Amino acid sequence: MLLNRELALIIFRKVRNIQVDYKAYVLDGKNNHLSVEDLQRVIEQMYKIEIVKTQVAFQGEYIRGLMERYNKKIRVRVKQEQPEDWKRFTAVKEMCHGIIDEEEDWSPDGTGRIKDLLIEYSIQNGDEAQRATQSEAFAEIAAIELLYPFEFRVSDLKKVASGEETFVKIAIHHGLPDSMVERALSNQYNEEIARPIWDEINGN
Amino acid sequence: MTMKTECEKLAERFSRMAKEGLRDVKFFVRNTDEASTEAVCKEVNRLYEAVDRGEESVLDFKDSTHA
Repeated sequence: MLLNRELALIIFRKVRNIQVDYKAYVLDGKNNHLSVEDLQRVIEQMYKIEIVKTQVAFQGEYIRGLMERYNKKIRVRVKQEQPEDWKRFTAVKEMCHGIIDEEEDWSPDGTGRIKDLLIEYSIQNGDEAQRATQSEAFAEIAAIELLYPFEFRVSDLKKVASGEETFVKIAIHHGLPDSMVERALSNQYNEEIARPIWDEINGN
Repeated sequence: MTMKTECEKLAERFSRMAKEGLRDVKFFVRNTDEASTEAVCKEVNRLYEAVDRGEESVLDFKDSTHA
């Protein structure tokens, strides 16, 4: 699945705005472990929406969570039976739809959305995916950037290479799944997507 | 009488929800390479059935620095 570069730049700018407001809002100086509750308040204030987060007790192997959008309200439903770090990631990822999605990305046709998502996530045909499918990928990217900001990754890459740090230790430190740390530090993501965009935003 | 597929059942639910104000819905799906549309629809139906039974609670990570 190919992502639109211009869209990616817009999303990273939105993430930066949230990070700035979050830093101003959060009370203690601990910035390695994002407060999901404080992030929720920041998104609610910035985007003038109410967010309701719940956990649902159901058995399943595919759905981690979902987001429903109403006029001035977002409802995030997270699968209850999953590790705490995945609950955090899922809640943040679904809340990020409130930040990144534009009205043209919206549709209440959930079954159509599922069909498109499954096809487009698996096909590598060089075509840009539909906006709604890209939105899912961008929400994951936004969640990674909020839970494990780029500023930490630069030094962590060196530490992982030298054996001083591991994906698991970093994941515990920041409170996100280790597979997401691995993805965040991968050359394909960190060097080819995140670094060029952050460099552009930071004027480097 | 023909049996409804899981996706048809789910489509009916979203159609009802749209009439009640739903503007958008997004999903976080894992194992996308193994998942069929029908299997994912079935699981989303299961999620909403749990919601209907009241098997849903507030998710508070208790990590606010303003507490």
